[in-house]
Amino acid sequence: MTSTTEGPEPVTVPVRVVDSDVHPAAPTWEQIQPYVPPSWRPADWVRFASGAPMYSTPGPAGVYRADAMDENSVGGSSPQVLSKQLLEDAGVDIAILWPLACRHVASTADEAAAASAINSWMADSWLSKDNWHERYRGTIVISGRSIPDALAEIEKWGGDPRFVQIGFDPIGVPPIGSRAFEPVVRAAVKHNLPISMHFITSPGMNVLTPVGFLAYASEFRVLFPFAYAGQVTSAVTSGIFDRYPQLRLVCIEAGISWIVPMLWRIQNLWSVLGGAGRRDPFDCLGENLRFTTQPLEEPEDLRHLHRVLEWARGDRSIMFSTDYPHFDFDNPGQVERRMPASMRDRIMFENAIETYGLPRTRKVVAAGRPAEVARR
Amino acid sequence: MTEPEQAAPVRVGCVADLPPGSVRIVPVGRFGVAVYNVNGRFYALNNFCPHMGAELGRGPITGTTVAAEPYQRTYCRDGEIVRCPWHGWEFDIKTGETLAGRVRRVQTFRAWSEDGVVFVASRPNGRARIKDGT
Amino acid sequence: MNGDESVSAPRRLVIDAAVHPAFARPDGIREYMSSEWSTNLVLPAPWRFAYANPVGDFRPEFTPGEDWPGSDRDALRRHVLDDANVDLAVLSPLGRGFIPDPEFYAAVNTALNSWLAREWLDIDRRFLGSIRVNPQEPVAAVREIERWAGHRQMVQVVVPLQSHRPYGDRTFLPVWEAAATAGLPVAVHAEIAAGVDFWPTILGYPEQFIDYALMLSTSGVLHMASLISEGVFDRLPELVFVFGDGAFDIHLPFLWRMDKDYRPFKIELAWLQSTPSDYMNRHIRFLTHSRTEGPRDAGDLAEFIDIWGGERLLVFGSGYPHWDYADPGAAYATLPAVQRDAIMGGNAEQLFARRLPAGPADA
Repeated sequence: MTSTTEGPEPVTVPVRVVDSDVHPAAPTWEQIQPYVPPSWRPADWVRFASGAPMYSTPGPAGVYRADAMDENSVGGSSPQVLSKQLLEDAGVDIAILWPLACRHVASTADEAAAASAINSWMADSWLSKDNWHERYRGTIVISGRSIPDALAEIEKWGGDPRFVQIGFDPIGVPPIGSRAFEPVVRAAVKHNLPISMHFITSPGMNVLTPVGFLAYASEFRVLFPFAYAGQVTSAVTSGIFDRYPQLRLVCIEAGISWIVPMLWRIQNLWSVLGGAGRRDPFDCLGENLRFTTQPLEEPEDLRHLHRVLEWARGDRSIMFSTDYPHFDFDNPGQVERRMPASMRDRIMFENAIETYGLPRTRKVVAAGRPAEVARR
Repeated sequence: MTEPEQAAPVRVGCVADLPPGSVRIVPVGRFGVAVYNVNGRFYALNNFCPHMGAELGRGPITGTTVAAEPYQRTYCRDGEIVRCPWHGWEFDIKTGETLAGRVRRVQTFRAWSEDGVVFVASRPNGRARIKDGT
Repeated sequence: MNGDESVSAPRRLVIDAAVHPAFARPDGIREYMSSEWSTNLVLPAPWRFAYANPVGDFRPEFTPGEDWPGSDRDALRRHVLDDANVDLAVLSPLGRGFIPDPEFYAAVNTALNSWLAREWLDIDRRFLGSIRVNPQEPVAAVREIERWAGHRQMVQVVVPLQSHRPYGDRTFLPVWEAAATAGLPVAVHAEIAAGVDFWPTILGYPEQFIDYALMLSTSGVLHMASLISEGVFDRLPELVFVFGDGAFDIHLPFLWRMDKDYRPFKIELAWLQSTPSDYMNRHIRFLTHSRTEGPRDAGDLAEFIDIWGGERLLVFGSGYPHWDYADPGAAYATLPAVQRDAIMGGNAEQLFARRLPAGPADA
């Protein structure tokens, strides 16, 4: 795993770890404000991206790793800290960035404008001057509550190779298989971009469940995969993947096990309710669905996880992620050893390379810097 | 470390530089050892969380919260607990054991002071080899 | 197995824990309600309005004529017990949904319970019953439980899946305490009537019936997390919850998630004595939904039951006469006998142990 020390310093190394879920942040909204469209100046935009939501993780560093906090007390806002901790210490070769600043607010216009500003800010910072090593790729964040604005963002950035996917919150977009959302699907397919979902908590706009509000942060973490489950299953039943076979839907931070029983349900319900001629949903899983590993399930018996990963077509559908800089960061070395040997490379880098069109090698930029360091 | 591992203790620093409630990470083994001062006595833990390999020494030193019954929380044992900086697992600094669930242990090392200087053993208690994920 | 065993070993009980009898006409419930309810107020209907099941809500072979399926006592007895080789059936009639007027809601529940006792439990000792209550009005619910707790054939309390607060919430505690004191498990069964419920999924109202059917029972996982997290089982060590709509298949990924979070969030849930898995094993069971949950392939099914802990956690329910009815003769037929016996009756025997007759009941 370490680079050879014999002969000349290698210029490139193979990509062995792709991280499909990393969250850069702005230290304050001031960094993003210059990118806000001139026609939009909400009265109190400073508060737009700040404030701890309900169900915050208990502990001194809240939702962040305690060792990822910088002088701004915002994890993921320092390019130096992020690249050191993620690229060097953790040994990630390429990271897919997903800024979480685009929270829901009541005004759909404000929300769309914020998404636009965040994309422009990312293009100018993390994807350019902070990307001297060329190991970051970006996400075109859109607000699903304003489809015309979403389409404009996709058109604006769709041809830019630094952006490798479109991203939105599964709550707050129309069902992915619905007619209302179909223009976004068409735009994604046109630009050959996966569409990805990432749950975002928004202060003051809490998520009401079918059984009311849960009391504790730990319970809250149990519920948000259901937002993805509803979107994914209704996408499969709607036939959107039959109409757009090239479409790829990425579920980020949703868990990788529940898709198996949910697809068994679809198979069974089609046999009872009528679904003759429908493509096997597990084929959909391999072709059209992607799931990121973090937070990795940790059953007592690892073989149980392995069997579920097999049922889940992990050799195609699962991509490694850390969720840096959040507290429940999954360490690449530790996840790698817990994956079935037959799927290890596919999960750690191959599936992401295919899904995002990534290179198979990356440059070693600084002379004398080793390609690999002792990984935990 | 040269093979075979040296048994000589490692100098951590002056007692005055490691006051109660503080921690210092010293280069022992692959990832270091975190040396703590808990109420004037010294303890040391392998700087490698058994869960996912985080640097335990960079985690907050706190107490813990217990409850005799649901909804009733009591904070206690301030300064005796280290929380892993990643997933927040609570470890008893003195024993290296997790507080909750099936007991998981981080290796402990003997630490003491002599003539105003703090030392830590270069070998963990009870085992010959430091756990470092390999 | 040696030949002697077939003579000496008693046949294991087969119990169907999900049978849904009904009034021949929904209006029949008026007979069991006093005049202030039955004369002046419009009774909610027991059918689903927002979604149309493409194959209908009931199996055609159990829908003989004009009367509501599950209303013909002789037909039900024949289908559920005699023809199916089932020894005991736990009856839970559908309610009329979450009625916003608490007194009206309580009156409907009382009527259902009285009708069940008089026209079903009194007629055949192989019929076991459910005490339907509205847990969101604890005083009335406790009163109703205490009214029926002495009835030997009432074996469980039944509450809706849909609620305005998750079932670990402290306001429900008196209801669960009354159930535990009476030695009764609490069964959760989704209402299909048009009650004042929140939307059926976290995303709102899905478009198609299949999407609704896919997601509805997953709310049970939220109740499960809530019951464990709020220490309900620490307060009531005898209490058992049964998720009647299933969710056995979906529970395990979430249980793994909860177990992973047990240490990180211990300072929040400081009163938990052990892991969520441990609470699950001791306090929670799931009714089978073998038509809709789990893999079809026999090999996959055996592994699924094994990994998910079905031998311990599953209790068979046919769902008669509903669209997803599972024939007890065919259900889990490919599983090893030990697992099948546990699922088809052994686990129900334990669940209802304080209420079951000493031996197989006489017809």
